[in-house]
Amino acid sequence: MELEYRLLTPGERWPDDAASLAAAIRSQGPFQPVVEMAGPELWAHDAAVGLTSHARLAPYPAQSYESLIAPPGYAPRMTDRDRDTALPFQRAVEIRTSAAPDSDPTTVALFHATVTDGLWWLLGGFLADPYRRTVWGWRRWRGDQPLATHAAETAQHLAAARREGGPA
Amino acid sequence: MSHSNDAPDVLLYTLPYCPDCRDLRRLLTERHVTFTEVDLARTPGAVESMLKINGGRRSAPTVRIGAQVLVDPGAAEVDAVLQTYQTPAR
Repeated sequence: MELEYRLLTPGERWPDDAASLAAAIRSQGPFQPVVEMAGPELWAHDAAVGLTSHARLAPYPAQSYESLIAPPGYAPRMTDRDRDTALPFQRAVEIRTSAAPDSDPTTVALFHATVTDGLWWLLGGFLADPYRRTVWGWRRWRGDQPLATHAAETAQHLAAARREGGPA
Repeated sequence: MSHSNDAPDVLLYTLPYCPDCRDLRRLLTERHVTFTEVDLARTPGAVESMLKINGGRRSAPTVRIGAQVLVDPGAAEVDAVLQTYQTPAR
């Protein structure tokens, strides 16, 4: 099982210390991750739950956002302030969380969402969510529902994809 | 509460992309408040120290004005705290 999100961000590099990102993640969920960074790669690993998220910082491909939201693409879900105050994207961050097939999908989805949320909080930008075909702005992501609900919805989509024989 | 009219120590925690942080920075500047700004993404240990003073709320901007800590405050809230430093002590 692998989960992914894509963060389009005005940030150009990782936060300066791994401990700050670990604290940002820890403060929002029931996880105690250790964060490591090496060049464009970043890992957040929680030994207690046996989960690791991997993120990779890459140049922002021009027009990615416009391509994503062009019909019949992803639906933008953001406030006017999210949209009006957004800074130009500089990087795209691919965030993936892999887990054994017998892992609890909701726990994996919550870990994935919580790590992503911590990175996003520090870097800014918009989040492309392939499970709900949505581009989230921060205020709607945090204002509409808690991370646990994001995780539950993602887990439901994964389960449906599995039933239909699609990628999960 | 009233304080002496000494200027308070003001510490502002911000994130580079955060529009509310820009607004609060502008407000403090307009009020001629001298403040120290801490970029949460660029200052080692800053996230932990912010969480420690604001009750664990991971939110930017957070500002400490003297002994008072405000999380994502509006202008009226900031002004009310600043006002306490402009009232001469009795």
